[in-house]
Amino acid sequence: MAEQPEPLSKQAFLDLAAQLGLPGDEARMDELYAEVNILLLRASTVYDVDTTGIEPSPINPQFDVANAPVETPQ
Amino acid sequence: MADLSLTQLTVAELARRIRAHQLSPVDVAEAFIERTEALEPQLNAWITVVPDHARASAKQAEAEIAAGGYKGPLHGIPVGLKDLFWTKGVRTTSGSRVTADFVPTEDATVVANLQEAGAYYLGKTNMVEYAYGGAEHNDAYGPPKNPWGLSHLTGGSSSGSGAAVAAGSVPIALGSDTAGSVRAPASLNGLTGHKPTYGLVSRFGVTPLSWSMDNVGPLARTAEDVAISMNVLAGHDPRDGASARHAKEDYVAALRDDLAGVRIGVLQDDYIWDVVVPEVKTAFDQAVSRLTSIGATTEALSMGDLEQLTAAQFTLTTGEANAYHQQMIRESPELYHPVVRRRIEAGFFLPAAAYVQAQRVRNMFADRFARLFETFDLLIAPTTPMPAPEFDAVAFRLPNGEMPSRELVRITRIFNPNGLPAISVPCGFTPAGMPIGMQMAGKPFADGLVIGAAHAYQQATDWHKRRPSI
Repeated sequence: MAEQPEPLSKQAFLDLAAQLGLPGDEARMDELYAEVNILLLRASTVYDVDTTGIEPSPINPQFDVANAPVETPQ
Repeated sequence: MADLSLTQLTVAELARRIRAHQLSPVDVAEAFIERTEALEPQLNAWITVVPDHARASAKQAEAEIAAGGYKGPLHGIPVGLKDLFWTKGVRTTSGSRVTADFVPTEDATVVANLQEAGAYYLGKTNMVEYAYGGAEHNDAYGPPKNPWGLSHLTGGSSSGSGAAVAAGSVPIALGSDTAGSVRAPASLNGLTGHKPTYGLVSRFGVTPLSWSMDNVGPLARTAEDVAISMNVLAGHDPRDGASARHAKEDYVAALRDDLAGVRIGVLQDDYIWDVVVPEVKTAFDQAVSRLTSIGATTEALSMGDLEQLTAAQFTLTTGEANAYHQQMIRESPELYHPVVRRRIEAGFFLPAAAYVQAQRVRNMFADRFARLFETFDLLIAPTTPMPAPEFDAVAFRLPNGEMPSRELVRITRIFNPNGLPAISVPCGFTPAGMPIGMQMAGKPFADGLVIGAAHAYQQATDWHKRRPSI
């Protein structure tokens, strides 16, 4: 299993937030910073999974693409 | 004075009397309107109530039925709609100040389907803001209260729908379920709530949370009522890009009285059981015994790696919710609840690679579930780790420590990434009288079996017949 990622540094977060145009006073940015690091930690779990050979198809697997009607031009 | 005993009846019970001309839809409407108006100061289950529309619709239904034009078991039945379903000419707030004044110019497909079947909506039920906060996160309209205990949460995000049906304000309501937002309030309010197979019920005209995992589903008192509604709700809709082309089924015909031949996998993963409180475990174990007594074979199994699956669900939701809200969060950030605003804004920092990897994880689990469903017909687990917490218990006390409030959907979210049908049924009560739920999930498009199994369980138990004393 991969090691837990390092939290995003406060400065990196603030720089990104500025680039994204996210406004906020210091207290609000502190709360958002904490939320972002929780998010990144939770999301990082997906990198622990061996997905060799598996594609990220955007359509849920049970969507019946194979049997969808084919429109033929008149 | 209306006959308020009507508000304790199920859709099926009301329908039998209406069809037999023993009961007028007008009397049904008056009963539920009076019940709603009496309870609303305590419950806060609704954002908008439309009694005039309800009365007019009931009168029309009465005339149609009297003229021999009975449409089916939903004819003349009032319904609650979570306030993210478009209703033509009636505001649809999605529980937020941001869209407090949004008035749709057309109905959502499911709303149109219900109306075509002769049902009508009594109003728009309260909900968690954009379905994206905890059950207590609604500054704009205030959170609903649980009819079983007014100091308790209802669960969300279909919080008002859960409260309204449990209290008898309507016999059935619609909710939406992306991580458990139909099943969790169903469980916490002693109701039956179904999350259909992804794509089975149209999402057109429904405010999205996460496009690839949003589902529309009913909350009702019984599996029979769920089946009645699914016969109207399910069906291909060309206006929903993810709508499945699945042959029409009769979910009422699929109701069954026993589970002979049904193979049930009982999930034993630590991911689930490390956080389930003893009272939920006791009720669930008794429910498993009852399932066996009505013919099912049960076998314990651990799927493993559920943290990975739910991490994928979380990652997908984070990215998709952020994408939907990108414009509004920049234009009106101050109108959002602070917690909802933080969750949406945090999504800006989600790496694209994480979102793509989450899709691969989802697809990997699709294969895993497919293999499991070669051996089992149903997978079961508790619906929520604990019964409805009190409002001031934002962090819950669980056997292994405290958990944040969003973990009420810890177990339900297992079945969302792969679009599996899953239903929650009442399976007991705590010593303090709060409901406990069990969920049953099946393979894609096995909604008939899932709802049918729930009905069989309810034929052998009476948890679903209890009513709060409110």
